[in-house]
Amino acid sequence: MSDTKRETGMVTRFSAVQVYFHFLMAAAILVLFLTGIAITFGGHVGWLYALFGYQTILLVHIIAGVTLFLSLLYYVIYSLTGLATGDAPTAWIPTLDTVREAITYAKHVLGRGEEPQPGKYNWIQKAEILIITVELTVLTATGLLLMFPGLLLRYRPAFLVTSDLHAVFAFTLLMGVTFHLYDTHVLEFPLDTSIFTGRVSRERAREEWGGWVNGDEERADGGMRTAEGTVRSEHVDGRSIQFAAVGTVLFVFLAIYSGVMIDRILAPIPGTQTTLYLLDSPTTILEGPLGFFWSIGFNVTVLVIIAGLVALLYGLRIRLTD
Amino acid sequence: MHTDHARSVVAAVAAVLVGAGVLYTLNAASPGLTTGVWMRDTLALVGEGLSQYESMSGNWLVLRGLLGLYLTGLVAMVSLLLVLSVRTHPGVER
Repeated sequence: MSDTKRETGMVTRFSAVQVYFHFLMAAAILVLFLTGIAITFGGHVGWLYALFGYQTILLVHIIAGVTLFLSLLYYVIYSLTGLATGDAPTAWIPTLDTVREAITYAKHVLGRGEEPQPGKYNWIQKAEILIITVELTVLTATGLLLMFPGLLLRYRPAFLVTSDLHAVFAFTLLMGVTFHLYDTHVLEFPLDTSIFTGRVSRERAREEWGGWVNGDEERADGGMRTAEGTVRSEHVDGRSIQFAAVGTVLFVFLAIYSGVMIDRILAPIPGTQTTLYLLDSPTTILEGPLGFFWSIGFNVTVLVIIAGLVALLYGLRIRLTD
Repeated sequence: MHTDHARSVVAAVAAVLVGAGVLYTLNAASPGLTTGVWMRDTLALVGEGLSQYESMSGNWLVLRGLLGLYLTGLVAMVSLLLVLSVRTHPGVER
């Protein structure tokens, strides 16, 4: 089953600054995930140590962390300068209308209403951006403190609390990014190129963000008409790919969620036997007879991260040859 | 376009200055990076003064409980959206 859509033009969705900032931020985050999973659950991804060694992995983690820190600083300051020129990016900020849109969406999914017509970003994308912003703020702050352990070792419990916060937020973000990769690679197979080219077809924009392109495009936060042309895309019924991808993502979620719960949330407080649950030694579970489950889970996660990095480089190539 | 370039340059310079300032301050307060320290061996490194952990284990438990709720809530919501996507998206776009 397939149908062909003909589009008569493209609209600009992301500026060049947003395209390159996304690339740099995403590359740094994926490298941080790759090295972070080795630092936290090293026993299950021993091949990473065999290839690179612990010192190198930790050093790369720090370099990627500083790169992310500088990228975030750049974009925050760049956005703030937009206040002076009247060009600050505000379309992503959730409002009461966003809540109404989420409720309308829930009714639509339950078959009790029409699909909502979102603005430039739908409610899921706004929630995603908001959660990523909060998580990156916590991760950057805790990461900077963990980089210089001498500071926190003077206040020893603080070091371990910071480590707990850093690990839990990082793996929560990893699950969010896995969902994001599903959204941009599987539902738009093999890759949604809009974040690299900066453009989307008018047809797609009308379908997905009707409130953005159906309104006054020139004033809709960067939305503007660009080159006219004809673009073809095919909608192919790829249910088997979609089901396989959903299964893989849920498996990754299960491995990460259970691993973090056992290793961090339910683990005893160091030096005490206090715990949220009677879990004497988390490592006997994660590395015991059932350990193969987490070994498979974390290695699949590493493959997902590497796939994300490859897609990112492919997207950059598209941008540079566009 | 010129305004945009000017904004980019200002932001890049300011980011490097602010970033360098933060890193310099942290390094001055505690020289040396964390390389060479196994996270799992942190307890051994800071093994003295167990009473410090005991004194704040109550607050720590509350924090872990909140983190666990946050993690669980987010995983549940994203999993739900993922499963719903099977219904709301008729197939893979190629």
